[in-house]
Amino acid sequence: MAKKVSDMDYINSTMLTSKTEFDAVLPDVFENGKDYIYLGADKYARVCVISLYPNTMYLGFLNDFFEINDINISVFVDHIKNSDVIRIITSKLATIESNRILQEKRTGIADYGLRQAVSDLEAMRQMIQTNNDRMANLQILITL
Amino acid sequence: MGADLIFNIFLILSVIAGAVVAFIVMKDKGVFGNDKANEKAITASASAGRVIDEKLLIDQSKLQDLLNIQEIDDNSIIHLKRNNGLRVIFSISTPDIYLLNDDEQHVFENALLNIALSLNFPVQFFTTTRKIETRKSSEKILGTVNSTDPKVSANLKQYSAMLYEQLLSIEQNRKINEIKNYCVVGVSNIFEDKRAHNELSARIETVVKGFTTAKIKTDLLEKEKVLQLLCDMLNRGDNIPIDKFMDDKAFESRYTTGEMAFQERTIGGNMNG
Repeated sequence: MAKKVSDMDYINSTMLTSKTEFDAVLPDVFENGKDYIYLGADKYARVCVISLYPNTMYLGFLNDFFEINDINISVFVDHIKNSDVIRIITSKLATIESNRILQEKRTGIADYGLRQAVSDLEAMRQMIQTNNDRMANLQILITL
Repeated sequence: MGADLIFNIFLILSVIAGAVVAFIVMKDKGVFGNDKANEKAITASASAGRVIDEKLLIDQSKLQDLLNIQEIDDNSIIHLKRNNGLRVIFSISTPDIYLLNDDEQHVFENALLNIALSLNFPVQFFTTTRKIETRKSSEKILGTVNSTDPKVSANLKQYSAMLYEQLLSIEQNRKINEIKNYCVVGVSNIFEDKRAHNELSARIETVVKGFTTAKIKTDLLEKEKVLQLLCDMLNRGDNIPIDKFMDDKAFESRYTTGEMAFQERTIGGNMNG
């Protein structure tokens, strides 16, 4: 649809359509689907996020993903203040501990899962309070 | 007679009320095409004589907005459009941990832990796979193959030809990829330019020192390489050589928005000239 535009719009449009480095960078199409991104003929991308992490991790635990060709992994790391972390851990610790005591009184059976969680949180709080460890918000995005 | 008159009046009023409701509903849905944006555009275009495809203008600006990049300056600093954000990208090359013995792995892990403890600002690590690019090497080898220099022996030419074939086969093999690691460091929400740059420098120093201690090689990506990285991300599977485009001066101007160019030209007094 062709229509008359002002001087300002005309200049904007001519600058935007002039050849810059970004013209070569931009994809032909960028269309957000329900769970994919369409980037032109036969080019699709899907972004996944790791929402649950294993209890123990080792160096290079994401390396196996690179067996899949054409994959991008993005890791965002943002540190949290120690005081905030201690407050959150203490609150979580109190909740889990009270649940554990109530459950064990009611059933008379030890819940080793909750005991382990309490023990882990206490160890973590000790490490942070003694300035031997820090906590960070971590987000791992995998683009296929 | 009186009842008929009242009935007719009621009928006419209900028809009018229905028409008004229908008009309001259709206007809200934009059936008439007179939404606020269109009215604004029509007003703006009233005094202009040029004709342009409006759809093209909107779509291209939206695509550029996706990147959120204002410009990449000569110091390889990426200026974002929002929150006065500045970013720099490093390529990092780590030692292959599978080639290290247990003690060396332990030392490497400790060095990484120390980096993690020393960072008190957000950092992004990015790993990507891409097809192996052998174009530059291949071209040089092909130069030897086609050389007319008498000093280049037939054996060397034969060897170069085989090497060239091998490089081509590696490049064309879809199963062979190289893994590239990047680290993005930046600042946001510091609106005083000098302070923002100083903060960015301090953060870069922290990161680079940490990596150097862990024997990780870092390399600040130049403008061409940043563009190449963006290009590879957004045009998956295509090996578009941005550096070649730039060498051939395929781009007329550096990246800038139309509004900035308009202001520069207005300030320069060239607008009416």
